[in-house]
Parts: sequence; structure tokens; C-alpha cells
Amino acid sequence: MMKRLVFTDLRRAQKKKAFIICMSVVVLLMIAVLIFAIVKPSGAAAIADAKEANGKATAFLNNISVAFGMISLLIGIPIFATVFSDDFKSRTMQTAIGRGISRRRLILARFYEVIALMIESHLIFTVIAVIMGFALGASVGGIGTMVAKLWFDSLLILANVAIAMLILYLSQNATGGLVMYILLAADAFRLILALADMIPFLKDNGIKLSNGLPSGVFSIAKNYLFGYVPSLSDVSDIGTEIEEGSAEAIQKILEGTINADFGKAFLYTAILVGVFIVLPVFLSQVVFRKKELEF
Amino acid sequence: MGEVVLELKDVKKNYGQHKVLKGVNMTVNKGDIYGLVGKNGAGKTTLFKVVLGLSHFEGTVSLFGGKSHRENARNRNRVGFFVGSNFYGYLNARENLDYFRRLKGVKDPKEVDRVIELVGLNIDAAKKPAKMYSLGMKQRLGIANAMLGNPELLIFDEPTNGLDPQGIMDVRHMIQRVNEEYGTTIIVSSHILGELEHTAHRFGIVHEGILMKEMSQEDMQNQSKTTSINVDDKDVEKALELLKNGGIDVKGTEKASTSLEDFYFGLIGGGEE
Repeated sequence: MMKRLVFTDLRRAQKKKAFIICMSVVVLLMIAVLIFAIVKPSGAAAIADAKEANGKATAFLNNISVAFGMISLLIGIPIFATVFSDDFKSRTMQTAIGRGISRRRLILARFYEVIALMIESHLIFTVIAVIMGFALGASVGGIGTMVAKLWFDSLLILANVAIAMLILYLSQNATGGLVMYILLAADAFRLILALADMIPFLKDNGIKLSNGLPSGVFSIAKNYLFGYVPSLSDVSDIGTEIEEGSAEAIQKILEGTINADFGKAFLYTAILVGVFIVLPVFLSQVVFRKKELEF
Repeated sequence: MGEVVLELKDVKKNYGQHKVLKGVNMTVNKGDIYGLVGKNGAGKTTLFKVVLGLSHFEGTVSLFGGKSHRENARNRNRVGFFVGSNFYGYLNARENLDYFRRLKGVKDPKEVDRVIELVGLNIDAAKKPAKMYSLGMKQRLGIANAMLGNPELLIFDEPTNGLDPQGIMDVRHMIQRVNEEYGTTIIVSSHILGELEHTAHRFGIVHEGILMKEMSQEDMQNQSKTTSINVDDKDVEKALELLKNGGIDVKGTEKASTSLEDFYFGLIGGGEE
């Protein structure tokens, strides 16, 4: 039944012109950002370029994370609107529940659908990124790490969707859910918490509340998993190192790297998936269990 | 009494302090066209939401003999229902119905054509995106959706809302046709009394959250202890004289009037097939 729910709605989503157009725009934007980054390299890429040390590949591999960051904001919006907003508008939920499909399954099916649409879009991005990477002369290791990072970023998209889903099912308001997703994806809460981080007590004790947000913890996990920071407690930004053009940073970008302590990094990521993805989906099921549905 | 399709016992529903259903008992038998009558806000829609698992409630609901929430949920795949305009605006009628056919697990793709024909959706017009449909077409599409998979029980909440007189008549005929051809049990609600009078076999009268009375068409007719005899206007005096001479007490005379509905269809044609 789950398969039927997911695939039926996926077929429907593919017929939505607005969705197809949005996805195409996102792909074009990604390509535009990459081309701009390659043509006008900055930071480490510019230094590498000056040294004739494969600057274009460095620019590409370095800046693709910026493009993916933008994608994580943009891609979730059409996916969220297509899966959830339409669901509420067309009263599909009422039809499904009235037909005996459990609310728990329905929520899970919608989340699986988000995963499927994200995989589909990420496959397209992966193909484009790999072709561009090879065309610019990047190494297999560098491209492999880039692809791994791209798919790792999808976890953050899923976490943002899962949390927005909780708001959506709690309020039964599709717009509220979508706004929550945009705020999370745009890292708006991070800006607010960054101000809170300035409170003397927190500052003195080295507590950064902003790092507790999905964007913060997944960023730490990514930097740790890909070997840019030596430990989980080290939350320094790789960006500074790259901007300074350290030879080691350029080397890591070009050749790709995975943390030697992969098991620990994987376990940390698994915990994050549990807390920021599985738990919100489960809570969505709980809060929606007895909700009144309107005709 | 036939097989019971739906039974409600002491069903209560509150929205905060507001009691919407105050202990409703209701029985719908297999093959019935059950007319649920009541003014707006009487609790008809809430009653349907309870039956369909869309609303939490106190009391007991048994759908096709289901004894638990789980059994009722399983039996809901034998129910079709119309909840107003439920469709995707950017899909056309066929695409919408095909979507809901798959969602409901109805395997036969020909079901879409069957229900389109059954509700009389104009095939050419149905090729446009649903958001461009008239209200009447939207209603028909919603009703077609309800009938996908030929469910054993159909629930229609105010199915004629927004329809023109011909549309109302069509829905009435369609309800009767589905009931007669497929033996489908149908529960239909309306706040317009005349709408159900000639369609339903049984009636439930809801008022302020209470099902005040359940009665058959026959019971309703027996409520009246008088019978009217229609004669031509010119024979009224003669008829009264004859009855008086025969020792029959005439309670009153009333000029028979043509209903607005009969007058309308007489004027434009159509109506009863």
C-alpha cells in the first residue's frame, strides 16, 4: 500500500508544470553559479589559479558547495509545495483516510515521496556536476568527495522538510509549513541564535546555540566526515582556511578526503538523522493522530 | 430488516464547550437511500466525518459490522464519499480520476470512463484543467470520484449545492440509478427537504446534534390521516355535494398548485426522464 501511495503521488507531481519549471530553473541557476565561480575564481581557487595549480578545478570543487547550499533552499520549496500544499488544497488526505488508509502511513508516504523527489533531483545535479568536474580536469577523488558531499547535503534538506512537516501537521496549514521550511533553509534562525550566542554567559562558556540548529550540526558533521576539522568539538569554519589559500586546504579540495575515523563520523551522522529527521516525522504522526479534518 | 451497513450508537462530539453531536443513534440498512435531513449546522457533516474517520468522537460506530476502529478502517475501502470539490486544479477530469483510482487501489483503468459516463461529465469539457470547470462540473467530478471502484456505500454531503435545476435533477436520477442498478447503499444529506422527499427510502432528521427521528418513506406518508382527491375545477361543487350526501366529512378543499420545479421543467423541457 505504501508503494501505491508514493508512486501514485509521484506520477501526479511529474504532471505539475509549475514543479517541472521550478526544478528546471534550479538546475539552470546551479549551472550559472558554477560557471560564474569558474570564470571568476576567488580565495583558494584564485591563488591556485595564480600558481597554475589546476585553479579551475579548485574553483569548481570549492564553489559547488555554495551552489548546493543555494539548491538546498530552492529545491525544497517546489518539492514541499508539490507534496504537501497540494495535498491540503485538494483534500487528498481526507479521501485517503476516508478510504481506510491510516494517517500514520499517509504521513510516512508523503515523506518517502519527498525523499524520492529529492533523489531524482540530486541525480540530475550529480550528473551535471560530474560532467562539469571531469571537463575541468578535476581528479576522480575530488569528484567522488564532491558527490558524497552533495548527497550528504540532502540530509539537511530532509531535516528541514521533516521539521517543517511537524509544523504543517500540527497547524494543518500548508503555508505555515512552507514558511517554516523557507526559514530553516535560509538559516534565518541561525541569525537570531547568533545574537543569543553573544550573551556573556554563553560566550564565556563557549556555548554556541546557533550550532544546535540542523544547519549547524550537519555542517559540523560534514566537515568532520570529510576530514576538514580534526574533531567534532572543533567547529572552525573550513572557509577561512580555504580563503587563506592554505596548501593543505587546496589539496583536500582537489583530491578529496574522508575522515580516518569514519565510524565515529558515521555514528554522529546517524544520531543527527535520528534526532532531526526520524523524530520530527514520528512526532508529525503523533500530533496528526487525532486531528480534525475538514471537508 | 435487511443487513445493517452502518450503525451509530450514542455518538457524541464536542468542539470545546460546543456540543455538535449529543448522542446520535442511527442505522442504515443495505440497499437504502437514506436521506439525512437537517438545517445548516445541525451536525450532518460532522456525522459523516465521524463515519469516515476524519473526526475523533465518543460512542460506537460500526461500518459493515466492524467492531473496532481497526475493522472500521479496513471496511472503509467499501465506502465512497463526496466531500465537495476534491481535485487538483491543474489536472483534467480524467487525470484527476485516474489519480484517485490509483490512490484508492482500484485496479481497472476503465473505471474512469465508467464514472465519467455515470455522472454525465462532458468529455470535451473534461479535457480542460479542472480549475476551469463550472461549479456544476466540479460537483460532478467530485461525485465521480466518490463512485470509483463501485463502492457498496456512498456518502454524499449536500451533493446538489451550487447545481442548476437540471443538475439537481440529474444527481437525483443518478442516485436512484446507482441504487437500483448496483444495489448501492446511499446516504445523502441535504438541508432542502423537497430534494430528498422523492429520492430517499428512509429519512433521518437531525436537529441540534440529535437524530430526532428515523422513518421510512411509508411511515412518512402514514403520518397524514387525510387523503386528497383531485378533481377538475368545474366539478368541485358536484364532488363536495356527492361526498356530503354519502355521509363523508370533508376536512377542507385546497386548489392544487403546480410545483415550481414542475413548472420549470414544463417550460424548458427536461427534468424527469
